[in-house]
Amino acid sequence: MSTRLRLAIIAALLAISGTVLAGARQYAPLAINLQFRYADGGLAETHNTDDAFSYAECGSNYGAGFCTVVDTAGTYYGCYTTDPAHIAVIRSMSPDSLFSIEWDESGVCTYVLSYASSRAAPRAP
Amino acid sequence: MTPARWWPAALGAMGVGLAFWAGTRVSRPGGPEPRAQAPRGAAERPLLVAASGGLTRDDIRAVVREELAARAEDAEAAATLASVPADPSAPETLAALAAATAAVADGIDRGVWGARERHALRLQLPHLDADQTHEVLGPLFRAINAQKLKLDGPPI
Repeated sequence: MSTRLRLAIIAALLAISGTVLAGARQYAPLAINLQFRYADGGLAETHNTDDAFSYAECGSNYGAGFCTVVDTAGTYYGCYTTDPAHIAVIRSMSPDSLFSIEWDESGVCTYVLSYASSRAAPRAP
Repeated sequence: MTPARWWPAALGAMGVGLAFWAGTRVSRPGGPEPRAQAPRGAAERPLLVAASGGLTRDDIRAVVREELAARAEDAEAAATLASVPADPSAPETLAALAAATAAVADGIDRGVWGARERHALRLQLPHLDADQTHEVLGPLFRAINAQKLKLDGPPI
């Protein structure tokens, strides 16, 4: 076995082991499905995307909540809710949350999910 | 085993060891952070542990004050919710519904939902019950999803 081959094997071992130990990563930018009226992604990762249009935001006041998403073409979609359970989920979101929403043809949120994941990328400046 | 045979194996083992070390560095970009070791009985005596970790009584008082203040804000929010008019057919409620509906219709007509439109809606929303809120927000979000409105800021 030549010295070069040995060094190559060592370098490969270093690279592979380092990656495994870093933990699983999964990039989750905003994804919108109009056929089934849902959108999901990571708020931080949507922020980190290179395009100048896409964003996702959710919010609530005393009795209503909403989520709006904008795709890479600058097209708006959104839903609202007066369901206290959905509003509670919206209020639990942080800027680094991952989310999933579904809505009906009236624009009412039928599903709101917020979760945290170690796989998500942190917010870049 | 001759040196020519064990040398690659030894080098490989060294590589794995180096890889493990490198991996631990990569997975924690900020470097290893010291973690406080909870002494035995920590669950039973949290205050004692907190105090031994460098927190003073004033620190603990500050935390308790923050928690109480947060609960007070929650109670305030609940009181606001409770202040929503119970009678959706009261004249002032119907007037608020009409004004909110008009604000949404105006925004849709002009194709823009910005600060002005949002402000007009916000003035009325607190006076509406859930059904009336649906009545107002339904057309607004249908217009958003139909690309009839350009959003400038949050919708509500």
